[in-house]
Amino acid sequence: MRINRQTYEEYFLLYTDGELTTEERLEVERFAEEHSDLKKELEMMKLSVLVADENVVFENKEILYREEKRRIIFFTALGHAISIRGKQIAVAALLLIFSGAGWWYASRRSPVIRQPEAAIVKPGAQPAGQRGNITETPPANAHQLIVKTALTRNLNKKLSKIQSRIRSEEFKNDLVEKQRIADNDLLPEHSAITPGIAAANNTTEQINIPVRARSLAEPVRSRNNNIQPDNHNNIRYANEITSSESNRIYFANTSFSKKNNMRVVFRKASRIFDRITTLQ
Amino acid sequence: MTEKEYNQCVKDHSDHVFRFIQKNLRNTEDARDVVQSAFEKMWAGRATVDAARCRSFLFTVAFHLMIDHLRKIKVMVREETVEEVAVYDSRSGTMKKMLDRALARLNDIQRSLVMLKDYEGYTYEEIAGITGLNSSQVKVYLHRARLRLKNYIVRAENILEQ
Repeated sequence: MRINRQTYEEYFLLYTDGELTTEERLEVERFAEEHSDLKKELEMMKLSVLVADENVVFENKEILYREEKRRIIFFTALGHAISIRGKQIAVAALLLIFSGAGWWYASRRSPVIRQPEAAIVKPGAQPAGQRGNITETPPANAHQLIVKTALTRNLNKKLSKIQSRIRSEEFKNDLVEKQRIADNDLLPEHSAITPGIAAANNTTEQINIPVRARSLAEPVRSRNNNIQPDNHNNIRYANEITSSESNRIYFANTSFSKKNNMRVVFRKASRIFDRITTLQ
Repeated sequence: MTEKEYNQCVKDHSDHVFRFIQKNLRNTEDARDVVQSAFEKMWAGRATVDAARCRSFLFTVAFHLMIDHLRKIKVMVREETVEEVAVYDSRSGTMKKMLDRALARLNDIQRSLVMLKDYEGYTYEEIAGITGLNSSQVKVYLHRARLRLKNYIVRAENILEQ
């Protein structure tokens, strides 16, 4: 380091900027002491150093702080990764709670009586060739059996059993007794009349049960315009039946179905949830 | 850089960088905007920012944002007015006020260099890294700025003595 009157200014600046080593700083100070006319210049240069004002601060630093969004990654059954944020987790948890509550509520409800397999059988002669047969389209003059059911696949079996029962002596006697009750208007009003089958005939030996498989969406057809099935279900009430139909016999079908739409939805949701949680 | 390191950086350096920007812009709200933008950039790029160098990163980003802002608002101070104003200012105020006024009359680069040196204690190399200049330029610009400040003070002293 060679500080002299030609180079002192640069050394003074480096001194002020703190860019000199300890030894160099001492040498600059010594030079300034030796040259009093330059000492004041060094002092003025020191005065040019700025001092930060500690009172100047960035207020409301909270707006600068950040928080990473937490994510949980699920893997679906197909191997797809699903990333869920914290808020989405909360929403999913709420949905699960509501789904669980709905499922629990649905499972506690008493089973809904399935739409009746309403049947109206008029007594009368039948073509001998059709006895015991199940045909797709009921013949025009045949005694009608109108059936509405969603369980069409089990219908044939049920009808076979019913036919065999109808042919039995005990059932014939029972039918006669029930018709007698119906003729006397003993059937209670607004009671659910349902399903299954009905058959009545003075001579119960000749009963044919033509049946056509139906889908649930297909409306029940009645050959008698006065007898219209309920719009919402297939229940018919005794007070709706005209006197000309009073020779019909109704009896209940006690087969219930526990299935309903909500139950299916909840079961599917719970299956998906089980799958996700198991894979985790 | 993790979330915790980022927030620690906010805690440690937000005031420093705000002081630096505010002194240069002389407008608190603009300075807040610049500082906030700088931290947002750091947060967005936290995956590539080394926590140990977050201070330099922050000053670098803030410096360039500030220069862009100054170019937009065109508040460049004309250097040729410094001498006249120095006489006027010398009649009132303390040394600190005098220095503030002298500093305000430096150009943007010189003012930034002086503040990075005096406020933050950066070396020439570090200042070069922040400003994008090389070390020699930093040294030359800084020495010129320092001499201007010194001369301002000397002239003010002389006037006061009269």
